[in-house]
Amino acid sequence: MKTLRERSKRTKVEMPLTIPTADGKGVAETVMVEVEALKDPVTGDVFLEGEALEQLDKAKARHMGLLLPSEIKGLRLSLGLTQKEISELLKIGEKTYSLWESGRGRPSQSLNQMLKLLWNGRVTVEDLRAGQKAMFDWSGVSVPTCGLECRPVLIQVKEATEIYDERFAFAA
Amino acid sequence: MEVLIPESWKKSVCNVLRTHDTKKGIILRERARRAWQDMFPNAFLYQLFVTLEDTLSQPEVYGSEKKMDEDGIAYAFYFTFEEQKMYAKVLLHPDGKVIIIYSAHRPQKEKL
Repeated sequence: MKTLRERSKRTKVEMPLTIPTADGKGVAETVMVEVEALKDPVTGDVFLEGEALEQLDKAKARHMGLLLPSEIKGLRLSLGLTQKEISELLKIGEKTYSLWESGRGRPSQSLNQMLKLLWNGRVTVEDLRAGQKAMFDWSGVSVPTCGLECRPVLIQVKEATEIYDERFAFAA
Repeated sequence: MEVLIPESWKKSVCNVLRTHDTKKGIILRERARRAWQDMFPNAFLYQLFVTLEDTLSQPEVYGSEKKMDEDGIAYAFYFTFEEQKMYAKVLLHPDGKVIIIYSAHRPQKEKL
């Protein structure tokens, strides 16, 4: 007996793909995606395999502004990071991160945004590492006890605030 | 009739489902895909594969053997996604490397 793959005709088919509403409960729109499918000459049933399934998930992810688990993994590998390292940079648990790669969890909107910035190269690993360092090194600051000695400390605090403001404005 | 799904069948199907990132051995009937997306517009296909894998990785899964017009062994069984009870029908090819997912929808009958 011939298998489904052997007896079926490969044909290009337009598949309806539903894009969910922002709350994920309804359908915002339906888009048509052309994929290769197998058509069983006996039953007339249409089947999708490998690449077509990937194509449909990718199309949906692009419309929803998400990265697929395989893309998250690909991003990490392209950055040369281990799961532990990327989890630390994103300030999340390693287990949470591994759920994203295995498809058993999805990043929050803000973390998805961060991953997309990394994906697009608009944020680099160095940016994330820099963000992890202390904004201001307080170790050199002594706390004065009287009048005039307060001035240098106030200046340093002011500088630190300006640095913070600059970074905050950049991030926003 | 519901029976305990054999470990060897579950293991082989899980091995194929585990490749969900490349989906080399997974064939999905279009009707099943539509039923899945109509039921869960927010969900991806890979989530169906991961959920089936997690279900079949459980120690005791009951199902009903189904006769299909295709070589291989098929079982129907229940699984849960987003707290919804769902019905699946999956065939494992004799080579153990390809599966066909015929169904993934809400149960339409009382029994498997």
